[in-house]
Amino acid sequence: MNEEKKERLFELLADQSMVGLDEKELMELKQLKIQFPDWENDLSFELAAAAIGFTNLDTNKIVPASLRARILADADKFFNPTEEPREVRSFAPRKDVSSPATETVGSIVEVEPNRPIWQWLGWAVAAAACVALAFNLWLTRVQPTTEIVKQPENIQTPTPKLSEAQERDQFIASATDVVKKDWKSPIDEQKILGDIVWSNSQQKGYVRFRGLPTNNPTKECYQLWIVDETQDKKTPISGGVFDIAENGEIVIPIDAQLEIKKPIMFAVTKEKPGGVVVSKQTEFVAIAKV
Amino acid sequence: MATILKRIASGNTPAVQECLDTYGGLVWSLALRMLPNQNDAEDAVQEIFIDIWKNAERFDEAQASETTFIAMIARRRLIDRMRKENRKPNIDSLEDILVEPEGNDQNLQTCVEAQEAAQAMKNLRPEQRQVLHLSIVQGFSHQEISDNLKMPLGTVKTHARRGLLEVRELLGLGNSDDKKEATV
Repeated sequence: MNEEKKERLFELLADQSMVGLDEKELMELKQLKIQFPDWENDLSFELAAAAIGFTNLDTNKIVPASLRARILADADKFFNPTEEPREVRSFAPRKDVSSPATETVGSIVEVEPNRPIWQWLGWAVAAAACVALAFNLWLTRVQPTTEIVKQPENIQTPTPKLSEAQERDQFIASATDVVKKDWKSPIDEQKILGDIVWSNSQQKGYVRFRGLPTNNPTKECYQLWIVDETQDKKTPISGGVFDIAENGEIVIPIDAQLEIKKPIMFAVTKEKPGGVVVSKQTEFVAIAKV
Repeated sequence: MATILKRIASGNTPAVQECLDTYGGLVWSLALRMLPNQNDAEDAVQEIFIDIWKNAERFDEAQASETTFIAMIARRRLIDRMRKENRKPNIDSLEDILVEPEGNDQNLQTCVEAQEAAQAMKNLRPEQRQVLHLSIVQGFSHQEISDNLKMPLGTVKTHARRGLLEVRELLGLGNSDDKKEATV
């Protein structure tokens, strides 16, 4: 009797994975799984069918841009139903996390909340000379002779290791194709200094900031974006999220979620805690065109 | 580094974009093959990705590759839609399919299981291979296969079930005890 039932169980599992089951068959399968609890979570038939299903499948088809955008919007709703904070890297002690951030670009950009990131490029290029000049003057006249990078005090390092600033220096010395670009703030009066270095061959890079306003990690975080020429420009690639708990210089390794083929711009936005899948691009903090 | 699905399951939202970039083409291709028009396929792909996120924590890399797991979730949704809407697969006729050469190696690099499944299919009896191909790859119902091949429905089902069990076994997804007991 048990043999017959188990045989029927296999029949239904096989049919389910090939052509699906009707309501009656689903009920029958459910009852049989109660009798054979080892098969309750079995996926082997479906996995076998899926593997057969690869036959002659052209997986190089490109998902339409509009569909891709809809899926990412779904993801944003799915993964961020609440405002609960998620794991975010912090690069300085959070002794003053409750204090509000200093002036941000949010109010400025909100005038045109849907303006795409790349539309800022023209403006950014126009502002680039001023920012670069100011940065250069600051570096050559104000900066101490020895560059001191503040170490994150609350990150536990199990073994002695280089600081991120030292790793950045080593990286620059070792990579032969390092691209280095200065950050520019989208608004004139905002002083955000620093740069981004990136190596395509190593798929590695660092961002460095001085004077990036602190953020309240319970309400927001910073998120780095990489606009790749080969990707849909509406959905740049996330380069990681981070908090700023005190002013000063910070160095952050880039955590690109995908292979970067041809970066054309890096940008930092303010997002909800934990970051987002797709940025609404309403709070730009810094941009660096390659 | 953890797999994409493991990272999604642990709440790493940026991995969602990586998931879409890595597996979007696979899911989109499956949807276009099994559903008759682009609008249906687009709706299905949206649903499939939500299913993927919901089921990410169930992924066990010891059992199958991430590619196969995602294809499995996609097939579930696509089969469900086809049944509910009584849709036919996105091909002109079964006769056309029957004269197409099988086993094109063009996309066998998809994952290890794809290669192994292709090899396993070659080891099946011709009628099992034909029925499985029409059912799983082309999306025909057993009744449609029966009608077109002039083969009794029971025989079609038997070939399909035995063929799938055989492939499952060759892929290492089942065990010999199962096989002895499963004499469908």
